[in-house]
Amino acid sequence: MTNSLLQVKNLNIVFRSAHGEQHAVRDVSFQVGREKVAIVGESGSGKSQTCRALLKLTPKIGHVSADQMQFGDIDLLSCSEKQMRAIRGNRISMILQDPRFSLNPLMRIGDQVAEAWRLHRRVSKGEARLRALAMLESVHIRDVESVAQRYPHEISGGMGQRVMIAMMLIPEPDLIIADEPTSALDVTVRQQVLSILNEQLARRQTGLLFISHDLNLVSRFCDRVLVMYAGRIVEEIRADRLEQAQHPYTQALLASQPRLHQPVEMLRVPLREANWLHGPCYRDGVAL
Amino acid sequence: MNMIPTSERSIELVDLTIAFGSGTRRRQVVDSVSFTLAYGESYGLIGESGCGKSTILRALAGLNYDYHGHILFNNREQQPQRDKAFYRQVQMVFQDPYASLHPRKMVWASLREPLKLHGLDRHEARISEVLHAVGLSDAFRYRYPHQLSGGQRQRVAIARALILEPSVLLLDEPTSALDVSVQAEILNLLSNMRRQRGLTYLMVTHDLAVVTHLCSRVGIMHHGKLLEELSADNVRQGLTQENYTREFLAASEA
Repeated sequence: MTNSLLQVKNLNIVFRSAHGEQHAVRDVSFQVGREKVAIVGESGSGKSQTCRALLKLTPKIGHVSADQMQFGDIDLLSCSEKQMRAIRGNRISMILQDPRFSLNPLMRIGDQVAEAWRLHRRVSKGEARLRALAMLESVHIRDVESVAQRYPHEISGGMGQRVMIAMMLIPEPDLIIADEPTSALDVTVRQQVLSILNEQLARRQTGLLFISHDLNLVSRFCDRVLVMYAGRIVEEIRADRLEQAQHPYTQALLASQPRLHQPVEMLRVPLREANWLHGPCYRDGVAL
Repeated sequence: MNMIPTSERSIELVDLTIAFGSGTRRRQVVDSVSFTLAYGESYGLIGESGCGKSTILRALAGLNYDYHGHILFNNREQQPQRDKAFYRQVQMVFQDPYASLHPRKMVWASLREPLKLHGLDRHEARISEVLHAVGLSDAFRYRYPHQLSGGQRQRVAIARALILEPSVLLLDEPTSALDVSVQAEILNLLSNMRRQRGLTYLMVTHDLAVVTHLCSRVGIMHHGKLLEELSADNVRQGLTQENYTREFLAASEA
């Protein structure tokens, strides 16, 4: 991909505890340009930890090491906590799974969105408020004046997620990390939220790192897919070629989901093989 | 118009109406819904959140007494407050296996509770049998829920429902909290159990692919009303009369 935003080389995350070492992420390398990249995998495969490490939000007991973590002209590895605070939300922002937990329950919607802008820019309250209202309008919220006055518990899940998107986009970041942004939403609302996200990304040429376990959704929404298994990226493939995936794990994941148009009596359950931890990885159908 | 002959009806809802609140805050959640499940059938209810599908399931399970209309089980009208015999026959599996098992009870204690309540014998043997049936070994008896994975917990929840040898299982989004690969395991388990034990399923979900995989008939709900009933094949081919169903199918596939 031309003009790469993010470059990660050999990222490792190890959790040390009294019970020994847990290698959560193993030698993960990838690049993100101004495109939509998905990371898929089961719970515990390390996809969320990979993204947390990019923002240096790994819990204290986790030990992060990498050969390279370059974001634009910034070397994330050597950034101090102070520098990271200027990056988080401003250059890289994160949309979390459930708006019910990630919005401040005691703050009105309008104030929350305005705060996201005021944290990174020196502007007056009134100016930030106008900007927040405009942003809420651009994520297709009708009657913004009244929504801005409400508290998070007074709006629906779909609207909450749109507020999250507005809040994350208002500082105009270069990269957005979305951690299962639609898995708490209904099918009908999911479609709407994704198309709004897509529209906003296209307008600003923002890069997206999309964490999900829904292969179907990812293959339609994203450009490239990284498949993670037990902390490794076992396959990297163009989203529209997902059906032709080479790694047995990707194939097993595809086969394990029920399909509307291909009814089967029994679903296939992935059988895990020990050699996937060391065996070949695939990029665009070619073994590495 | 009911196509299912009386002798084959397992569960029948007639004009079920449920409202919450009163006066100006009264909200009609379920609006005269009627449908019938035949013995051994699997029936799915789909719709977006807030359409009343889970409310129907809760009323049916006897968790909500305040409803109008009739609920019939084996052709006998049920009182809003159910008796023990009903619970012996109708059991429920909940959405979130992380919330539906008692955190301070080991698996065997959770499984023994329904046996004690219903005065059944052979506790130890029944617990072993049902654990094996859901694909867990005897070693799992002495585990607490926090020592189990999501899929294992849902297996225990299914075992807890099956231990009374019911004829009907009510499934409230049984796989939506699970990963795809684990979802496949649980769906396979559910279809095996139904085949082996001749169970009747009523499943509530918003995942179209899951519902057509497990259920032969699907009811589509919108704003508390049952819009229409379709066979799984008709859902696949998009043969529907209602505009809303068409939109819902399109949103699920896109």
